[in-house]
Amino acid sequence: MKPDKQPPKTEEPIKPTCCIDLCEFGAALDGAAAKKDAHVLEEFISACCSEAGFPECARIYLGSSFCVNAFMHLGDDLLDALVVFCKDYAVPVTLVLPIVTEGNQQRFKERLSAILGRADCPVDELTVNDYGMLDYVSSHCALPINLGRLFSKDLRDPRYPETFRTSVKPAILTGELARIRAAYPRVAGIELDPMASAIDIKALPTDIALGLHFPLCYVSTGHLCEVAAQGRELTGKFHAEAPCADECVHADVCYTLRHSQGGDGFNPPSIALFKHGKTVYYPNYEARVVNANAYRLVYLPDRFGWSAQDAVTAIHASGDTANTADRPAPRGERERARARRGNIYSERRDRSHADGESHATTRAQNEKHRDADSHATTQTHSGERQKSRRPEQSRDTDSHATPRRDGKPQQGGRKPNIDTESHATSRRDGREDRR
Amino acid sequence: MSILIPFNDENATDSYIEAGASEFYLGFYDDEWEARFGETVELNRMSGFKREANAYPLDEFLPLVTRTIAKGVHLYVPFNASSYTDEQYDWIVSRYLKLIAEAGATGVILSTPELIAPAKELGLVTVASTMCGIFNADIARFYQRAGIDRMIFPRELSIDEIRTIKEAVPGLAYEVFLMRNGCIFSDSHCLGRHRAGCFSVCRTLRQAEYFTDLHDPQHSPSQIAENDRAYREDLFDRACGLCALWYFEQMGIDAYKVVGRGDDPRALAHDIALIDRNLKIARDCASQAEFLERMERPEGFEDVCANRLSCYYPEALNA
Repeated sequence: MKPDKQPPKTEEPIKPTCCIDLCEFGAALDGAAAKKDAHVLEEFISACCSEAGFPECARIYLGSSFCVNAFMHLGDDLLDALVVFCKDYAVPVTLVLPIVTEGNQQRFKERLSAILGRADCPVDELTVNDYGMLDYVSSHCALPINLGRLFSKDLRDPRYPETFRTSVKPAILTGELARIRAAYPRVAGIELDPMASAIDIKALPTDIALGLHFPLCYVSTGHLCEVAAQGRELTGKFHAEAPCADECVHADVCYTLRHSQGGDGFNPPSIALFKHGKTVYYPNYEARVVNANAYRLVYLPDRFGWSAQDAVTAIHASGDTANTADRPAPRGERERARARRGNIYSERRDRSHADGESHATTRAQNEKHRDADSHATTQTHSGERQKSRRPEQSRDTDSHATPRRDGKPQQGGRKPNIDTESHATSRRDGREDRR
Repeated sequence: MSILIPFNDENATDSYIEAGASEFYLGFYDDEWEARFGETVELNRMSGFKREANAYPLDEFLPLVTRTIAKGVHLYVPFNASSYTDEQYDWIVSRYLKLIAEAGATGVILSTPELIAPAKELGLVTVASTMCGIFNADIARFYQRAGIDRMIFPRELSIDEIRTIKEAVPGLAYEVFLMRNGCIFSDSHCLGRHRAGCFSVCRTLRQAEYFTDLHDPQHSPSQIAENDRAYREDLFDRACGLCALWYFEQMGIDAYKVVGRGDDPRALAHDIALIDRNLKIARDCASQAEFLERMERPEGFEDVCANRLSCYYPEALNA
């Protein structure tokens, strides 16, 4: 848990494989796909790439890590559109499977079977989030398996900066992963959240693919949905995995935590979090991978509720998502902007904190901190380990190298600059342009 | 069909037993653990609350285990932090498990499969914590194959789901939650720190400034306002579940777990006695409808029962 303090070495930065996370977007995109707009998915993914600063989309994540309803609501229209997109761009799909409560098991497995049974199915790997699903897909499917973000249970709590601003070595890498692989040999990858300032993956086996979700880190999730209960009678609210009408497509809950909400002697900085569906996230643009030689960066827009909907709406309105920044900001845009300042901690000094010893972080402090972390990052890229990572590189290099079909320009025209540092920096710059 | 309760004050032991509890779970703290792994690394799920939730150091804890077991009850020790490194596993196995077994503890409550085998080698009963997230029969089978003896169902499962899993995976003992602290998230995947200072994430969020960002409102402002209030003020405000006792007795649930390691012992004893009285009623009833008619509800629960927002198993009221 201690930051690496060895002096930096100057080496060429690692370029992660750029992936777009469509998980939790299914309902919004399916609605658009149902209108048979052949370009809706292409435009949306292109917009996501532009936001993330990705030169291209090398892989798509589809399904849901957190909600069985979100998975079940993946419609055939979206899958049809996805098949076309993936064929045109030679982009493979990772199908992400949530934890399923017993009452939904049968229909979930039927739906999973139907998706994987499509002759044109672009799914080439599965991500599971619990031991039961790992066991099930191991015996029912032949695809490689990733351990999803719910498998790694390192605490990640921005309310405690002293524990958050560290380089974390995920506990699952110290031994659990090896034991799982011994029992389930088709486990070929692992997904992690940006749970701290730095994620040290030195212990990651060389033949295991890492997918780092970015920029959103989930901190808590469950099976009760706040927004799905909005239209229900009081006695019918908040039942686990109750059927829903994709209310999360239309509503997020945004939180601002203040100093005054700490206990005695505790002064957390102001923090912005938000909840989409059943899951609470915070955006962590500081996160970087330490000791990485190859990994995937899995991008999910941090405004994903309205972003998806508005992007789709904009597509249908004008056929172009490039100008979505010009449209009127939806309610909450200003508050959301606070969370997009490049750091989860507010720069503002909270008025309720009167002792003058504010823990609120300044931009300058952030930059200093990032510099310190970048040293830890670059010093670890030894040539020896880079060579040993070839299997993973080859695994994803094919898709990563896939050219865009028609030389279509990236939205916004931003020059791609993807490395272990710039995925945070370029994103931040993009946001500031919009503000 | 025991009542399993947290135990954090030896002086309250007899009152708990008198009220009807026959199983206890009790954590400890160890300065050496903190010195080796850091103050923020949890030995169990409640380590962040320091002595409030784990009152005894290891050297006082072990004789306390022996004294408590001598009263004819069972006692379980939790090792249910959200995750451990291999070094921490080794430390737990080499430093704690043997001592706990020698002290006479019944078993250990575990959050991961890694500790099952070493605990069983010492003759300890192994219990899958709610941190394991036994949400379906596939997960239950995995833990059964790993050697677990007993498991607790997450709060979010319905009575039917509990019955289905129990029937699909026989040969294990099962626990369900009753009373006191409900969770709006899943214990198994709540990765905020539960500790003094900010307490749990859900508590912080309930107190935080918030707004519901509606992109395309589907419901009226009054509906949304009611939903906000219900979620933040009423949901699990007084968590219960007593109405489901008849169903659980019918299906042979082995233990009813009450949480609250840091709670007032008198309030805890009150809840134990209430559960015990209702268990006796449930065992004497021929149907759920009869149980609902005869059961003793918690004091002042008229409104709570009416809105069902504190019910672990709200469907029990539909009989």
